[in-house]
Amino acid sequence: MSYEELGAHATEIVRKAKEWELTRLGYTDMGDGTWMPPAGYSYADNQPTNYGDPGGTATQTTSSQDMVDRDMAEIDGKYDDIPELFSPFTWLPDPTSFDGAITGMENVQARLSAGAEDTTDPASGSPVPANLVLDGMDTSSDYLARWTGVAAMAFKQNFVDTFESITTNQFLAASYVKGALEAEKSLWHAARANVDQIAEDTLTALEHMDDCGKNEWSMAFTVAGAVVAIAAIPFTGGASTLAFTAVGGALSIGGAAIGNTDDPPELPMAGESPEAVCDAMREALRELKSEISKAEQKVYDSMVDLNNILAVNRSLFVAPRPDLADSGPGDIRDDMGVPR
Amino acid sequence: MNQPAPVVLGTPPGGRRDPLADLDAHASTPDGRVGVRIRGRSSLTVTLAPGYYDQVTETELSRQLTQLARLAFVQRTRAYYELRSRAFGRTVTRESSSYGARDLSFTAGRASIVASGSSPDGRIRVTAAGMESWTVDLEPGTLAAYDEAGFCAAVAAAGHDLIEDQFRQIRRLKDEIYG
Repeated sequence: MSYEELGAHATEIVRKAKEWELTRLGYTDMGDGTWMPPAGYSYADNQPTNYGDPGGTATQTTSSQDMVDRDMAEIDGKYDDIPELFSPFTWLPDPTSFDGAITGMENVQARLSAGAEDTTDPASGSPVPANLVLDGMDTSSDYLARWTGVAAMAFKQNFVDTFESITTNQFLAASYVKGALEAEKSLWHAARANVDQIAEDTLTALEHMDDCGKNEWSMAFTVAGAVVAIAAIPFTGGASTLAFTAVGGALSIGGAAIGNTDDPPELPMAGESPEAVCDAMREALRELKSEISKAEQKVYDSMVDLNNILAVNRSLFVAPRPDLADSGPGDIRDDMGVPR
Repeated sequence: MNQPAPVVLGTPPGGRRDPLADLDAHASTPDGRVGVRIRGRSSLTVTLAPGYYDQVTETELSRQLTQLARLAFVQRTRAYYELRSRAFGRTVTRESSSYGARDLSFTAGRASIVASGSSPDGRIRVTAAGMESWTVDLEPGTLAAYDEAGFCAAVAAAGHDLIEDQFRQIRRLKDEIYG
């Protein structure tokens, strides 16, 4: 069974449940997908049209077809909601659709990695190869030794001295965005697997209701552990005040997780009738929706926190705009204040 | 008279299949002289050690078959849980112990089921009370009435009959208790 067949499985659950109902009502399985009504139903057709009112005008009101229609209306009412229940789950995001964005963030990490120890990816625990271009900043002050004055001081303070911290913070921010993308990928991977499992277990349970033992099973919601809290490395320059819960994907965190390491929540399920099995399935689908929402909330909260940190502490992530950038030719002056 | 139209539900993808089709259990008496293989829902094959049928008495064979039935049930239960584990993708070794009122009624009702089966000619009769207490009765003259192959087939038919009776009673009990 696979997720892509989920709609077909929902239809099959309905069909199987209805088979059980017809069997209980005494319909005969003709083996070709059709079911003949119980022989007793034809009794209704044999009643005189004035039955119970000899010589009167009363007419027959119930036929065998009416009885079949009544049965089917009752049965349809019990199970025809099932395809609709699965419908929202048939268009869950494709986990691989996050790969492009994840690769994009890996490229960002590679550009911002200065090769120091703290350029380890905090989500996966893997080191990110250094961008050698950034090494040039370490020796830039040698070239500037003979440059003096206000502009030289400002340049050193604003750009050289803070370069490492700002680059590290940018690297970490990019890593946390990548972690969130990986969390989303894991979340939808698990959600698809879980809903597929619910459908598969329901079909299996409908097949095994006749067994001599109790027809019980359980559903483990792995989606609950798909988004994991990771040990966030604090941002340089304000570490103690920047509380932040970073997240990663269970599929890619390695050993970096600090939460959600327990077994996934399990829902015990049982059913000895088609209604009970389908009710258990309905409960499992409700629980899955709830677990997906909780997992999504973790990613959302993490990204909102990160966004707030970036907005409030902009100076930790972006160097101030150079005065020179907004200057025209007339604004450039020499030591004597003469425009150049 | 108008015949009502049949209800059309369609057929399952891949055709209909016995959910217990893959069940396969073997058992034999401790002395290895009588064996049985249970396949699928209720198909049995009974075998005897070479020459054993010609020398055994009906009393002894009845005792051996009773013992075999008990052992076969244990092996079938094990095979059933293996099959169920495969079907649900997780290991199942027993029923849960957290029972509600209906579950308690079910287990009590199941324990009181007396299932029975007999060979087509009625000479061999197998009975199980709660799948715990087993008896296999051979009518006097049974061994003389069959050759070895016929006897094994008749025992298998009686066993098949018993299993189907147990299934029927279980279904009735489940319908009664769980609706």
